[in-house]
Amino acid sequence: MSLRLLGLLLTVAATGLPAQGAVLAGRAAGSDAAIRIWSLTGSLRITAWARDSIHVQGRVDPGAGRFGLGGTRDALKLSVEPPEGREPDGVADLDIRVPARARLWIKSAAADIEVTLQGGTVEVTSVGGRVRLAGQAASATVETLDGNVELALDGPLARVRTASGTIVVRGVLQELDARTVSGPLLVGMEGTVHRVRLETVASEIAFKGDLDADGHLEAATHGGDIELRLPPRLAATWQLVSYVAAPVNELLPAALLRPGERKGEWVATTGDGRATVQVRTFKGRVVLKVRA
Amino acid sequence: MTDTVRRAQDGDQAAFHALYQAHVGRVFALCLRLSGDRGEAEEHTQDVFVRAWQRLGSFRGDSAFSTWLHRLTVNEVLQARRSAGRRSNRLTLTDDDAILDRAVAAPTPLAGDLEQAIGRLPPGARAVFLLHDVEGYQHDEIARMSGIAEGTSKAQLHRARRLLREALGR
Amino acid sequence: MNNHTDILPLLDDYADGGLDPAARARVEAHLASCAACRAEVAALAAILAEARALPRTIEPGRDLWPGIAPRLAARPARRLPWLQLAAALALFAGGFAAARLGQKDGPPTRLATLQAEYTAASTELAHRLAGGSTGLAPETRRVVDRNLEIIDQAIREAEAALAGDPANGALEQMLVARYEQRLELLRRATAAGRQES
Repeated sequence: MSLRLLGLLLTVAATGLPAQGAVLAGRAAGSDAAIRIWSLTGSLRITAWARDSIHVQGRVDPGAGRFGLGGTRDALKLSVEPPEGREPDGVADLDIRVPARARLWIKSAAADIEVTLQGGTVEVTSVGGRVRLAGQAASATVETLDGNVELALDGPLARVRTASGTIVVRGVLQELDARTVSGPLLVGMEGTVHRVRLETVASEIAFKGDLDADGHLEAATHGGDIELRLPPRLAATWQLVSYVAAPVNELLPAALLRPGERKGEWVATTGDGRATVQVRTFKGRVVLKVRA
Repeated sequence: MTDTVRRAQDGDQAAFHALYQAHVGRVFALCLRLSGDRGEAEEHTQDVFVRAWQRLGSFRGDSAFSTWLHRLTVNEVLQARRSAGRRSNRLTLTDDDAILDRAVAAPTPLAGDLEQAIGRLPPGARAVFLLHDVEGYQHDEIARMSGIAEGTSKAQLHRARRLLREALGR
Repeated sequence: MNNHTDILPLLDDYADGGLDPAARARVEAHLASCAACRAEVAALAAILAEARALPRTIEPGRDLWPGIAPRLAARPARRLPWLQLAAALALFAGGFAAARLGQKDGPPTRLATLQAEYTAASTELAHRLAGGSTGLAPETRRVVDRNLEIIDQAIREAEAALAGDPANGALEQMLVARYEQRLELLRRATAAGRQES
C-alpha cells in the first residue's frame, strides 16, 4: 500500500497537478457532541475550538474515497469511505475543528493523527500511523500496532497500546497505563501521579515523576533497563526485580535496600511505605536516580 | 563455497550463527551509514540476517558469501526505506528533557568528520554517495537497486560531493 | 570554450576516471591553466580517498542475535506462520503444564490454568489470522509476526528460568504478563485487520 501511495505522491509532485478533491465543510454541533471520525490514510489534524460547530478543511484524493459529514447536532460522523471492497489508493489530509468538550472516536489505518483537546475525550484506534495527543483531556485512549505515540496531556486518565512503536508521555496525569512490545517507553510527569503502569517486552522504560502518598507505580520489561527518577523523600514500599544485576541505586539510603526472599529481588521501605513501587526486568538493570 | 555456508544451507543454525558473528560488523556498518540512525540500523541488521537465512538456498556460491550478503543488505535497507516511508516518520521530540532524550537519541557510534558529514546528507544523496564512493557500486547498479534513473544517481552523487565539501570546509 | 562552466560538470567524472580520452584531455588542458579547478579536483580527490578508507566494519553496540534467532524457522520457509505459531504455543504450553502437574501431582496450578486459557484464546485468534479473512496488510502482518516472535522468545527465557526456580513468584508474574501481552497483540492484530480491509 505504502509503495502505491508513495508512487502516487511522486506522480503528483512530478507533474505538478493542482490539489484535487478540496474539501470544505461545516456543521453545527453540541459542545460535547459525540463525533466519529473515520479515515484510513493521510493525515488528520483535529483541534478543539471554543465554538459549537465542526469545521473541516483539506484535500481528499479521489482514490482515497468519498468524503462525508453527517448526523445530528449531538452525534456526528465524518468519514472518508474508500470504494466498496477496495483498498484506498490515495490519501486524505484533513484539518478538523471540533467543539471544546467533544467526545472523539477516531479510526484509521495509516494516517498520522494529531489531536489537540480542550477538555473533551478521545479514543484513537489505528494500525500504523503516528499518533500525537496534546492539551486537556477528560480521558485519552490510543490503540495502534506499528505507530509511535506521543502524549502531552493534562487530565485524569490516559491509556496507550502499541506494538512496535515508541511511547512518549509528558504532562500531568492521575492515571497512566501504557504498553508496547518492542518499543521503549519514556515518561516524564509533572505533579503527582496516582497510578502508573508501564510495560514493554524488548526495550527500556524511563520514568521521571512523583507519586501520590498512596500512589502505585508498576514498570515491567523483559529485555531492557528500567530507570526511575523520583523525589528522594518518596515514602513507599519498593520491590525491584532484575535477574542480571543488583539495582543501581542513587536514590534510596543504601542501608534500606536489601535482597528480598526470591532470587533477583530487592526490597525497601521508606517513610510510612504507603505508596508502592514495583519494577521488574528480566534481562535489564534497575536504575534509581534522584529526580532533578 | 565454505563449509560453514553449506552447513547453514542445510539448516544448521549454529553454522548460521557463526556466519552472523563473522559478518555482523560489515552489515551493521552498511545499515548504520545508509539509515543514519542506530535504532533503525539495528532493526535492518536483524531483518537482513533473517532474510539471508530465508534466502540462503538461492546462494549458489558464484560470488563470495560476503558479496552476496552485502548486496542483500543494500537491497533490504533501500527497499525498506522505499516501501515504508511512514517508518522514517520517527518520533521527533520537542522536549529537551534529559531523561526522554537519553533513550530516544542514543549516541551514534559514528566518529570522524567525514562520517558525521555523510550522516547529515539528505537521504537520497547519502545513499548514492555511500554506494558509489564508499562501497564502489556503478551508477547503473545503484539505479537498479534504488529504483531511480541513472541520471538521478549521477546528479545525487554530484550534490552529495558538493555538500560534503561545503560541510568539511574544503 | 574550455571555460569553467563547461568544465565544472565534468570534474566528477574526471575524478572517477570515467571520461573518454578526448574529454579527459580537455579537462587536463583546462586544469593546467586554472588554479580554482585544480583546487576543486584536489579537494574532491581527498574526500574520495578518505571515503574509500572508511572502516568497513562497525560492531553494533549490543548483541543483535537474540532478535534474530527466534525468527529463524526450520527450512523450508514457513507457509503458515500463524498456524505454526499457534501450534507451537499449544505444544509448548501443554508440555509445560504437564511438567508442572507431574511435579506437583495435584490439581492444576494457577499458572497452568491461566496458560491453558491463554493458549486456547491465542490459538483461536491465530487461526482467524491464518485464515486470511482479517485483511491485514502484509506489512502490518510482518510487524505483528516480529512482535509475536519477541514475546515468544521472552516466554521461552522466562520459562527456562522458572524451571530452575519454580517457587519464584516474580518469575511467574513475568510469564503471565507475557501471555497477556501475546493475547492482547493477537486480539489487536485481528481488530487491525478489520480496520485495514
